[in-house]
Amino acid sequence: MLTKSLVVSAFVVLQLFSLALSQQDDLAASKARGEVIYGRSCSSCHMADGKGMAGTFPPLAQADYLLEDPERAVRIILNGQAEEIVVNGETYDMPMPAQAHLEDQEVADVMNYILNSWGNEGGTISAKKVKEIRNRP
Amino acid sequence: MAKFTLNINGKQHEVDVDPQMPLLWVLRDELQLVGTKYGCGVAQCGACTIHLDDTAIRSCSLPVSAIGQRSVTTIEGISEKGDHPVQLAWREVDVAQCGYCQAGQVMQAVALLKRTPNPTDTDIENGMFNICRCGTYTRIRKAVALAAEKGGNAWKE
Repeated sequence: MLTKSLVVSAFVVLQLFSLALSQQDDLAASKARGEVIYGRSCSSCHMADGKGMAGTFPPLAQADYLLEDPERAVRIILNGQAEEIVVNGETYDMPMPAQAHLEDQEVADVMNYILNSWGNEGGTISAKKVKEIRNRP
Repeated sequence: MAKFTLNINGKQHEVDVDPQMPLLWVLRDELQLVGTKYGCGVAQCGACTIHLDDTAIRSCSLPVSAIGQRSVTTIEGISEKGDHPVQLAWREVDVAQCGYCQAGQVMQAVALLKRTPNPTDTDIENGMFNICRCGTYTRIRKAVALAAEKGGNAWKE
């Protein structure tokens, strides 16, 4: 009985461990795909180092506006942005065109790259979440 | 209106324009540097690509007031006689069809090769994302690879 429960709990621990590992792998793979998308769709304004251009293109690296509400960033990717915003104390009013041509997974990948690069520790976004945000009226 | 002194292709230019005017229009309408083209106007297609220092930038969305002391390089500034290795490769591969996106593509390629002198096919694929409405992408990639082979990173001062 004891042996059996030991085996079962060892199995459970192993499963949890491999689940954690595969999630890590998933994020690494998503970030790698996201980096390519970032280079193509974002970097010409937000720059390869995520620092943008002060007063013109807002930064993504350690940007309060991004990190306080990552889902809002997904909405901006999907719908564009035409309002004046304040990022790290600086005002930005240049409109950003929507990137709605990106697929749900691509938006998730580029978000995961942005949220986990340049010192950002911003968590993750799933393709499912992007789809849900995209379908909001 | 405001006065700006811009360093473009190694020369100082004084302009008196609206601070919000995109660099593209300063280049084309104020300085008659019309090699740089207007495409989409929202930093997506890349027809207006120039270099700010060594970085490829979409000039249609860059207000002139954001440039400051940084140096601007346009298609007119990469070689005296149109013989930058990327331009030579472009001609050799016969890339252009209508040619409208060409200046931007070349500027994108020059920046890519400066950053990555020996690019892999993947580097080229990921680094060359300007839009070509004629669909000459295969030849664009071929020309970038050829330019790299022949030392496309060699900067002609």
